[in-house]
Amino acid sequence: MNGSGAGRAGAGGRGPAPALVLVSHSLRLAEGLRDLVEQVAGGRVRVAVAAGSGDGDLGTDPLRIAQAVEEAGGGPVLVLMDLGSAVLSAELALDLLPEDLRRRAVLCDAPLVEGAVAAAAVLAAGGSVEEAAAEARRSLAAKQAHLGGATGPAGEAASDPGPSPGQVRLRVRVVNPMGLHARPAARFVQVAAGFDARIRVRNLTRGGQAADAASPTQLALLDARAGDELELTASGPDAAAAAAALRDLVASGFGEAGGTPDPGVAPQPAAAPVAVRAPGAAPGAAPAPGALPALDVPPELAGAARVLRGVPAAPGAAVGRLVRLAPPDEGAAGKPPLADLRSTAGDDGDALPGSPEDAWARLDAARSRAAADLAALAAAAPEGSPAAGILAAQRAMLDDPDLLARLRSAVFDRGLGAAAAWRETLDGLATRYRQAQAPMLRERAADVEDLRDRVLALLAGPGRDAPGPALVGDTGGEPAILAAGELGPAALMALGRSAAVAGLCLAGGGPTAHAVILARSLGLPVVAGLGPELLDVAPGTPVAVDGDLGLVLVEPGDTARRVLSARAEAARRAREEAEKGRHAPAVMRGGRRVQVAANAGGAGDVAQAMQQGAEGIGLLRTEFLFLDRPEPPGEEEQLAVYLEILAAADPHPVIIRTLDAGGDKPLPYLDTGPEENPFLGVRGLRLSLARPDLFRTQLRAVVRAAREAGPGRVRLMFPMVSTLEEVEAALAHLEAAGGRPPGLEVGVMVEVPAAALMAGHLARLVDFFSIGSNDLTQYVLAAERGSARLAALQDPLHPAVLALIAGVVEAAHGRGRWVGVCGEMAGDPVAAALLAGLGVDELSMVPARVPEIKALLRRLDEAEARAAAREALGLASASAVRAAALRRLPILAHPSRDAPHA
Amino acid sequence: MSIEARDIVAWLRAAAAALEAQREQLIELDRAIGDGDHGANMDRGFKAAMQRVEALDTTDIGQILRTVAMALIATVGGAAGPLYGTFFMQMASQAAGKASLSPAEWAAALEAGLQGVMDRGRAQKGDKTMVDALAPGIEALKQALAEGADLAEALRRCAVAAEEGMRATIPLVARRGRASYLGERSAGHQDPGATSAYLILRAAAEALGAVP
Ligand SMILES: Nc1ncnc2c1ncn2[C@@H]1O[C@H](COP(=O)(O)OP(=O)(O)O)[C@@H](O)[C@H]1O
Ligand SMILES: [Mg+2]
Repeated sequence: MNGSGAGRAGAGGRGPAPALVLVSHSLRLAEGLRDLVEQVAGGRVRVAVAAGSGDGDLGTDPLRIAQAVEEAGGGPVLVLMDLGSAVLSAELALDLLPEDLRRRAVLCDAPLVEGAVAAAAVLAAGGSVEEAAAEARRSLAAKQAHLGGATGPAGEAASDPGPSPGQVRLRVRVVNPMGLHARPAARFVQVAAGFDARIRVRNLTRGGQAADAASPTQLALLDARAGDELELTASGPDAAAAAAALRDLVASGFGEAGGTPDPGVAPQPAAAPVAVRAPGAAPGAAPAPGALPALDVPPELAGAARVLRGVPAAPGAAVGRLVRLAPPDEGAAGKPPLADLRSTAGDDGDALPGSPEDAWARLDAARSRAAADLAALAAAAPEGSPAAGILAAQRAMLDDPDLLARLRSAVFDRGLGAAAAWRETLDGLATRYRQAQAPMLRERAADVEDLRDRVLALLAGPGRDAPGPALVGDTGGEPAILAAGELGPAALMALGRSAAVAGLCLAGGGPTAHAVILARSLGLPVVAGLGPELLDVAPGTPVAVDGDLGLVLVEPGDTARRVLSARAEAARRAREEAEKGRHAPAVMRGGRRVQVAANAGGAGDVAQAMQQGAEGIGLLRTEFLFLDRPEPPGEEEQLAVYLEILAAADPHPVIIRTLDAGGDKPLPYLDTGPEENPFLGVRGLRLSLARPDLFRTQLRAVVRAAREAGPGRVRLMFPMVSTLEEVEAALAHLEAAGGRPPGLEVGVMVEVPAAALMAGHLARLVDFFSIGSNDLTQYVLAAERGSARLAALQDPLHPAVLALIAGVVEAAHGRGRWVGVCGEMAGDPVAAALLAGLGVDELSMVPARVPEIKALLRRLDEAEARAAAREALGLASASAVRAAALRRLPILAHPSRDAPHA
Repeated sequence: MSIEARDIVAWLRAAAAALEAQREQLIELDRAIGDGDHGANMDRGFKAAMQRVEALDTTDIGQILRTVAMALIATVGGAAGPLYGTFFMQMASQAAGKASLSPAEWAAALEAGLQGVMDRGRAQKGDKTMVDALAPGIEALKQALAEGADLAEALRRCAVAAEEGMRATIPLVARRGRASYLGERSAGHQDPGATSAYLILRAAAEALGAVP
């Protein structure tokens, strides 16, 4: 029989020597552990292994364990086991043994590896089995203290006589069987951090020092177990709300086994001085029938009538009531069948029967009015912001010659009225966009429909000339939370400006949809991809949005309302604070500095970036120079623009990315032809290498700009690199275009998994890497960007993506190269923290995100971020990564608060 | 109307056959929220048990059940080993030295088995374990007998209640066993142990339902 009872030397002396029995599912694990133990015990302790089941299978075998105890030499025996059935088997093994043997054995609940080593040390030094067991149980503390970021002693002395003025003091009993162990402690910290209050916790049952609610370690050190009574003392502006929310959280048992709250009884009303034991804790109580446990909903958000789950598209929280957009326009756009809209049909838009010329004139007027409205909206948007860009594109669409030709034919050839013609033409255009290969184009469909509705509203008559869509749903004075299928950007801008909308929920739409990008720049939390159920929720229903977790709570519970409102408020405060510190460098706790730069798509963006505190342009998309023109820009024109941008960014560096066109971004003078799979086609550097004429012109302009601006100002970057050969070819073109002036760094974008995996080789050729996380994610997960149906797959926090990034950083740093990230993820707080933890040197994002990310990095502890990143690499899904990061780094959820530091 | 040693063996055979037939299904279920070995564990355990039982020459029901218990303990490997081992061990001590059991004694033996499982695993109803099928099944059995139902009917109701209990594990969050490491992600899946427990109780309805 393999593995059992293989005790080694026993120590002589007083009585039979104590022995250690190691129980594991894995024989190899147990045998390896025995070697570790022997190192500390040096042959002075008998060590027996009872591991595996059958013939080398994973499992535990009670008979083997019993035998190992029996053969342990007649002295006291300490049994340590791994998990699950090992515990059951060990207990059963003792039951199988005769009374005297059973009494000599102690089952120890310590972690196997730490416990075995610690216990062996005690036994080898002559300690008793009980002492060894006690030491084994403590053995995890060292690791916890090390990794948990514990610093200094737990809080100051604790016993103040009574609440001082402004203080709120509550008591609550711990009901969950496991007590305030690591996970509940982390939740406690997170909830506490959502309030502007200083909170201390004492364990009245066990005494000891008070813990700061900001410190999971101190909370864990309270050793609060089921039945213990805690005292919460809160002070500060949110004291009462904070204390009540935390009390509810504890009383609800943190949603853990045995502590499931009965909706009828817990959470306690705020007035109750001492929370009662949650009834679910009664032994044997079955959970409320029919109550489906919600997945991944943290306990403090529990209690909603319904939970809708989507993609966290923009962070933040909002609490209010649901509103919907009024149907585009009751009169014009809302009328369904086209036939009814023939010129004389009495719909609002075509109420006046008349000649095609009249119809055309009315269309002209409505179009120019719409153009003016859009211009006004664009002017209100931050200069160079994506909002402005999108609105400009919509405006351009109004004058699109193809569209005008179709419109003309609808009016003059087919005699449609103004509204009908406009509607049909724009619907047709939207359909064409929707059927397009490229997701970018498909997303334009929403823009087209938005434009359709805007003009239809204008056609419907002067009484309806306010183009901002009306909201449906009584908010009763609470903030409005807008729910929509998809949302055109102009409508969103109008809503955002009106400040009535505090959050956005979309049934469709991925995190790269225009509306989402806009909402993010407005600081609104967004959950996308919620599915059609969202549209079943009646306007006026109370809802809460958690943009961090991607949850929408319908009729949220009181605690959830409190927690999320506090978070919304904290976020607002944090934004203000971040604004103030936006020009200061982002130095993490621990001293490492991360460069925070901005992405730019034109000179306007650069000015905005500098104003927001960007420390450079981490990505200058040069496509703007090439779009919407029949001929490519010449060298002089490019040089002038680059120099203008460099001047605007002075004294910071600018990474100029060579033209990233082709496939999904066709240009008239680039005869790329249709491609089955534009994202896998001739684009980026592939296209440049295929068109050396264009490429050389651009390289010459960049080289001249670098010479003129001086060393260190210009960095050159190639997009969509897959192989070393491509980079070698590109560098050869660079030589031919005037060579590399001193101080011109050359880098590549890492978007293709192959480039990530070859980073070690590429590092020989380039000075830096910039990870294009949007494309990298789409290629790694084989999920097209912007496809709403694949929204859940477009999460760059997927461990597979993070693993590639980690590999790039390691390979690059090993050769003295630096690594930036210039995708959407760089501006996402959770992702930014993990990227900083992975060792990324520069984060480049939309200008509007710069202040907040800088503020976040300044609060982030280098070692904690590293630990969080390491943990993330071992997790199994993007949502697990997000949840773990939020748990481990509470400041992420609550940027207004400092990390727990003693 | 009593249950003889050969009826017990017939029950165990039926259970072994059902576990063999449902091996893959149990593996699938365990793969979703555990480590995917439950079907193999149970099939292996019951095969070993039947080998030893068929080799016995005894009418002592206690001895038969004890043999099953030891075989399961030695061969199952996963949590189900010590748990079902305890189940049959407790049944065995109720039936020690008996060559036949009255329906009430049979119910009492099962109840002792269930209590053993709950003591061993510290599981309660609602924890998403085998207890969720065993407890309602045995409860229904006792109830039916108390209402004067005959053994066949009582066993039928036992199987029906166990099946309901098994299905009711689907929305539950596991609080015991390997699946509890999944936390809330364990919801939405039927518990493998509850499924095997149902199969074992259903085997009793099949094999003992015809007891004269
Ligand atoms: N503590 C427990 N109490 C009762 N039943 C349990 C317990 N732990 C596990 N189980 C049951 O055992 C089943 C799993 O058995 P098996 O797969 O053989 O074990 P393992 O989880 O060790 O692989 C679970 O589905 C559950 O019904
Ligand atoms: Mg298993």
